[in-house]
Amino acid sequence: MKEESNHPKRVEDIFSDDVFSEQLLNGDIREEEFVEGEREFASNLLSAIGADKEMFCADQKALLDKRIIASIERSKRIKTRAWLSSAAILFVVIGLSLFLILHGRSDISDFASTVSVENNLNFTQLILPGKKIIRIETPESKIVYSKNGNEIKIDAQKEIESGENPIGSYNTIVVPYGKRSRVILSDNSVVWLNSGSKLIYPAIFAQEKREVFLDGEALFEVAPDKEHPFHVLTRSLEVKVLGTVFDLCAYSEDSTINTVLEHGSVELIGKKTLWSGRSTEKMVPGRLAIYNISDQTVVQKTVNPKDYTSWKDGYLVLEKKSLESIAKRLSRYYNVSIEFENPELGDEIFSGYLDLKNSAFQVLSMISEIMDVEVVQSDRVIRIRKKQSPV
Amino acid sequence: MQKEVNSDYLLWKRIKAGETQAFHELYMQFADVLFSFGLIYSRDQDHVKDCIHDLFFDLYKYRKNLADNDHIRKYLFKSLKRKICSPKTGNLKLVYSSTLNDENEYRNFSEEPELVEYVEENIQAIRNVMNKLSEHQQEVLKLRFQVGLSYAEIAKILDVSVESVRTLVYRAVKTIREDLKINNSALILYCIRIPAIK
Repeated sequence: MKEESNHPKRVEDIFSDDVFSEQLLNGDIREEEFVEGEREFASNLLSAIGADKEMFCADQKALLDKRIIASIERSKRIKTRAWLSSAAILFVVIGLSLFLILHGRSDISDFASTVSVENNLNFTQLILPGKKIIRIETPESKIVYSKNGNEIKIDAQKEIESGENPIGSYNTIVVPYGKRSRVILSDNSVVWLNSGSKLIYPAIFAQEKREVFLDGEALFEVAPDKEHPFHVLTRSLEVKVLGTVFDLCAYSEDSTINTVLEHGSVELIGKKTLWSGRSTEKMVPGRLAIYNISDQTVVQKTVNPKDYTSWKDGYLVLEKKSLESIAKRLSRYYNVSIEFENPELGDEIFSGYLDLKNSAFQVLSMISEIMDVEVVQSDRVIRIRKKQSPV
Repeated sequence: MQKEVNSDYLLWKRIKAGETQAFHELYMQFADVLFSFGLIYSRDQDHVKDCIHDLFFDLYKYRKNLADNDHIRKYLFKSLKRKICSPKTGNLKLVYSSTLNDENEYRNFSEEPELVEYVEENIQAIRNVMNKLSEHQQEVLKLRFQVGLSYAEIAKILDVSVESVRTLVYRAVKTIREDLKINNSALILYCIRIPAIK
């Protein structure tokens, strides 16, 4: 065995050997192993390397343990809540109507809560008052309302009567994953709807203010009209607009609502609570506001708005985005599911330009060439995994 | 040995099932070595603790995608390193503090003050030389002799062969020895320069 070899060794031999370095670390190495005078050098070197070593003191260690367990427990609770919530919705609706009557809030979100449509169809739906449903098969559809709201033109071919539009009735457009749609409203405002989104709006706007409801992501180019402010409502945040271009990302499965302002000015209006008034926050162009739904706080940062709005032109500009967030966007855009075989890959950071005219697989393959990953497709699932090393 | 492997496997199964207690047990098993490991990459203890928190929470979040248990150690070390060094926080450099901590004790030496002083000078000289080693060499030395990981494990974490880890260490020690010789011949000059560097 190695330990029995008895010719003396230099420090570099001791250090680079598994057994001897282990003995050195444990302090049970024999003097005779060393070339003369080398024992001291070894000890000093060991002390020099280990001088920064700090112990994890017991109470700090216990504290961190508690923190981790608390985070896991909290996450478990949230999941349970999601299961219960479908049952709770019925009660909420009743409660909400009462609440709305008391506080006189707009009824568009009331209407929105009654609209339940499937997201997993493979065509875009336009739902008119009276439950009339129009199927739109094109992946990038365009829907134009006439000024008086009576006519709707779909994809430069179909022209239809919007029919009866009594005050308080709404049109709904539902864009499934993998499709996009552009809606030009009767006031000439343009809304680009991204995949998996739902927009509710009246064919013709009411007198005092213009109101639409969004679930999902959309880019708004609002026709300026100071007399009639434009309001975008989501399930928990309201954005008041005076004529501007901005992107609003409010998918109901996300825990945040992101607003990016390209130009103009908007005001974010928080949820009204029974105990406090509504909080508001103004935004200036070039800023991203992240609204956290659970604790109702807003964080703003400076960004390049193009990074958030370029999807409408068929490409994505990404600057230092995690692979996880990119995968989320792509899976909505293309309606495919993207999975990580190695979860830590999701944290990898990517910057670049992605052409969305390519397929999801092509786009991901492009990323995989730059990052050290492999992309495998089977059916509607794309898997990302670490490149198999040749070892 | 067989039993140990078996209990690791059982713990892993419970982790995958999302059992809270299993995460506590895994944490208790790895907390010390992960903390010590993390401090190599960042001197900020709070940052290291935050990253360990995220590491275990991610493990919980992504437990369904986890592979088999044989990579658990590698996974923990690699992910923690990545978290600590992520561009968000930017603690990428390995740094030796320029002076020794006062609390450090050198057990192997006698209590005679002159001798202790002499040894401390020697150690400080080695540390100065060590700062000139390549980042990789410093990292490997610390992983082996500060954290106490085996060469096989270091190789796995760094994705290189065991042989090249050993070679790195061998060369590092050799370089230190040679640089010390050069410095020793100009020891007096060196002592004068140290305050200027600080």
